[in-house]
Amino acid sequence: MDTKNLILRTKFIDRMCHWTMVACFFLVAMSGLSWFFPSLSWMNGVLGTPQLARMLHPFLGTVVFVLLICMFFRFVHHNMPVRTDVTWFRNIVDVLMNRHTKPLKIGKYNAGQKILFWCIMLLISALFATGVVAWRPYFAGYFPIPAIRLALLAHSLAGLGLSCWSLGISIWVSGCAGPLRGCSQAMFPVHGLNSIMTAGMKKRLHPLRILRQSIIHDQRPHRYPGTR
Amino acid sequence: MLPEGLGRLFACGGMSDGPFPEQYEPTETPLASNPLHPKVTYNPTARVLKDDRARMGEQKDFPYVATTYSITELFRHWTKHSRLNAIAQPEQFVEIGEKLAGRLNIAAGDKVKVSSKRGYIEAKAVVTKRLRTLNVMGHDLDQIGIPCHWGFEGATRKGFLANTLSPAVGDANTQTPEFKAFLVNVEKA
Amino acid sequence: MAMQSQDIIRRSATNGLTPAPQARDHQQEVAKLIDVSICTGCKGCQVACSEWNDLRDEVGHNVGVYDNPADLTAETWTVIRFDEVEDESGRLEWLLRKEGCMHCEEPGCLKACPSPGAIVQFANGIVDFQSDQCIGCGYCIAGCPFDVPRINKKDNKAYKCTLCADRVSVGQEPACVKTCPTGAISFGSKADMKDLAATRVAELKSRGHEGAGLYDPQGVGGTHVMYVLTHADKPEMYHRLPKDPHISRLCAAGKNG
Repeated sequence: MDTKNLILRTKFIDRMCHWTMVACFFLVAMSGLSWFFPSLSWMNGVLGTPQLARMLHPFLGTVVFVLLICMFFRFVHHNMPVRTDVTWFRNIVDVLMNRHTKPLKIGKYNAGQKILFWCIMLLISALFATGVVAWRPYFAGYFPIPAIRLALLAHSLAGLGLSCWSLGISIWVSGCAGPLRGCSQAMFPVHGLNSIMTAGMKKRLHPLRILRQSIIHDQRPHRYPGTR
Repeated sequence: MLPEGLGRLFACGGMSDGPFPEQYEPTETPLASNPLHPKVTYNPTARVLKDDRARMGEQKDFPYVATTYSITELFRHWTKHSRLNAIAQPEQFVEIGEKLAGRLNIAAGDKVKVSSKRGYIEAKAVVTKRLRTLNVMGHDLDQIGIPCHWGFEGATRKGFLANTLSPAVGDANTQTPEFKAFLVNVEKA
Repeated sequence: MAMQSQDIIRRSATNGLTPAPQARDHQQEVAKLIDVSICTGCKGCQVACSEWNDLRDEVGHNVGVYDNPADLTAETWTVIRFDEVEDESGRLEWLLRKEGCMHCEEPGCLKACPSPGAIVQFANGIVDFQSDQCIGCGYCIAGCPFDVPRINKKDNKAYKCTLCADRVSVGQEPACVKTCPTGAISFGSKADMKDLAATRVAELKSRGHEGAGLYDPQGVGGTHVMYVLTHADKPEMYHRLPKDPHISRLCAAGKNG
């Protein structure tokens, strides 16, 4: 593979963080869904027995949350809303139709990705907070039962929402999404596995970053990411 | 009770304080004198030893009346050694009326010190509406309840002996100890 | 247990598409009737419960009330609640209530439980926890309108009164009923217990307890533990016994199926 024109997009540590989180999230989501839809109770088998699944679920959820917090601090500066995000929204139809005719003035992440970022942060924080309220035997005893009922409901809905969302986004990004078709090797998934992209892609998808940082291949141009 | 199944109002023999029943105050009484006959306040025929007499308190130091009693969960000092009884009533407590507790700033569950001229105990306070401030001869009088089951050993939590507080005087005829009415002070421990 | 599995008419986290066992469907619904006006608060029922069920809770603390243990726990399935209530005229009543699982006809715990078969309802109405299936999530606690189940810190499983399902299945009354020295607790078919309650309520009313009545709340489909209350119009007086208990909508929505 010719790596000459490739740009390091996401550092190894960030990708590790992301994928550990995704792996844990899958386990947590499967066990969680098994309790929301009892007909899917076989799904908690991924964590062993039902008892073990119940015990591990909150701990793995905490791992997800902690990793997400790390990612939050590493990525938040890319995800602050800026004036040019409006341009992306105005041209949302073109973006979805994969017509890259107008300059969209996008930084590392486009406005859609920023929304994704903030929604995921919000949902996982909500899941963590409500999960702690309902966490037996450690914390639930400190909360009144009506609060626990509310927390369980919010937890279920947030969990369901996040599961649908992350599943949907993954499917969309990995194949169906117009602007990403043909470059899944570089982009799959949105901020993770393959952290490299071609300079051409970068110019097309992230023009502002090119302007601001000049071409990154000055710094680490020829290395396959993650290798030393 | 006599062989014919009845008691007698006039008991000519056998009673050291007969023949008629008489009202006496407890040996340790909060009243200055017997309301019915001021000259004889407590039973003159009850045996009180000299040293025990010296250990009787007065109302100015010990303003409340205490009564000791048993509760259904425990029997004497026996069943405090049984785990199941201990679970049902694990820790020594005294019962204090709401009004008195309010005045002494004692809340339910607080540790209190109850003392008489003869010694003291410490116990949890059960604050209750069931014990009300009495009005005796125009004066307010508070009474506290002291269940008497806990001690230095057992399956329950360790406690004090309630009889540390009670006076060494018995009924004139039966020597039944006078543990139902004596004087104490109560304070937050 | 082998035969009891044939008496299970409802099972947690199990959809209704497949039928419950029905071969032995001639069973009567049972009920325990607790007459609070006869209770003396001796706690004999608490001790009998612990004896029969081999429970030995911690020796706790006195927290300023007669109630001890201070609350239901995983190892205390029933407690007597002592409430001192004064009415408008200043008349004091010491209200006693034996607290424990009410064995609802429509159990909130069973509805909320996400673990298949961890909570079952028998044909006679008894709601029972199957500890080997329990995952310790505590949803039953959130689902219960009476705040009854408790998680055991030692094994992370939920526990509550079984209505002595083992004794009842062989024709005996629950241990608390057997031991009650004043006859405040009765046990029999639900119909018989309702009849008995009617007699008692009539008697209490004739003695001037205008508000006397049976507590068999319909919000949970009726219960298999019922009370005769001297103040049935104000059940909250008896240590916050809910006037109209029902399964929280939040709980019903928090789990699907």
